[in-house]
Amino acid sequence: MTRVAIGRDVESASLLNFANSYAGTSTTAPAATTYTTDGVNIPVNSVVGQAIVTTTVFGIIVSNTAAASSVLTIDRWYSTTALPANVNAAAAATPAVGAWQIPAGNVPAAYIGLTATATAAVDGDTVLTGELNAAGAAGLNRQLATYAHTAAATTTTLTKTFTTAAADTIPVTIAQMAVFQGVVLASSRMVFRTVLSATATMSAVGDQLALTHTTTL
Amino acid sequence: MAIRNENGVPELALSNSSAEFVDGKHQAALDPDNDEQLLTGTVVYVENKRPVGAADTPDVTMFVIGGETLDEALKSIVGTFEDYHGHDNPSWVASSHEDLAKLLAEHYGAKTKPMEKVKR
Repeated sequence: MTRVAIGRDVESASLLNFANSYAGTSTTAPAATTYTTDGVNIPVNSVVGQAIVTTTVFGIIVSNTAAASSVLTIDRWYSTTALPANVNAAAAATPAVGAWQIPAGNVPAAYIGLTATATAAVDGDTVLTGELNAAGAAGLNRQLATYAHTAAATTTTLTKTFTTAAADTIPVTIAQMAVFQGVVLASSRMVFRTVLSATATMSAVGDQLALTHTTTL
Repeated sequence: MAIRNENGVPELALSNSSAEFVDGKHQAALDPDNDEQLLTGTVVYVENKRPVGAADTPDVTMFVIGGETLDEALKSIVGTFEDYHGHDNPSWVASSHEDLAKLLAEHYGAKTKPMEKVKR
């Protein structure tokens, strides 16, 4: 397992950066991937990985400008009560103007993506090369994993049992997985990347693969 | 220890009727034209008999289900609990999803416990 450079930033902010929070009221209409803070100047790219939370939805910040009214770029809008189970799920509706907050910390990483590419990960990686992304209701695309932790234990796991669907391009031999902070392939940040100890070939609709990522705290 | 397929997926120890029920729910959830929902956000507690932490620390493994069908959630829990969290089968399980709790309990030969009775 490789915790890539961005992964160290996510972990650091999640655990220890408590004072980096902002709040305000927007008057500029938000867009599908941008949000203007209207009157709040945030140092450039200092809130990357944090959530912009409105009264209805939240977005995961991927960059921000420094300006009298900073502009936040997000990967997409998420509904707290209906998190996207996979990359096929539509984004939540763009919010209206109004009160907003950027809480301290970082959004957890819990989405698992797969690839047939076996090239080993390097520290500076930001994408999972060749990540599977078939159109339609595919079963091997990026999915939200199941989290597990035992009280006081040092190990935390993310597990997903993938089921091959008719929309997947098969046969395919899975060789590597990665863990991401969000569900958008083009912009959600990669935290871990792992070449599997044994490849898994999916050759028929209904074939299943169970993968677990472990983090030792 | 659960029997696994070549891709590490555990085989569930369920009756024929339970297995049919699970498969039906699984197929419905994977069908984009069906309203059957995934179990995203479902919370599961599993008794963990492996000593962890201080002597008075509740020994409970908590799961929060991701984008999984009933079948996938069962398999993810069973496989991960065995590989990374517990040593012995639990004597009780609890879940905010009634079917998931009942089927997990059936697999383990365990009881179900109301969520509010779980000590954490």
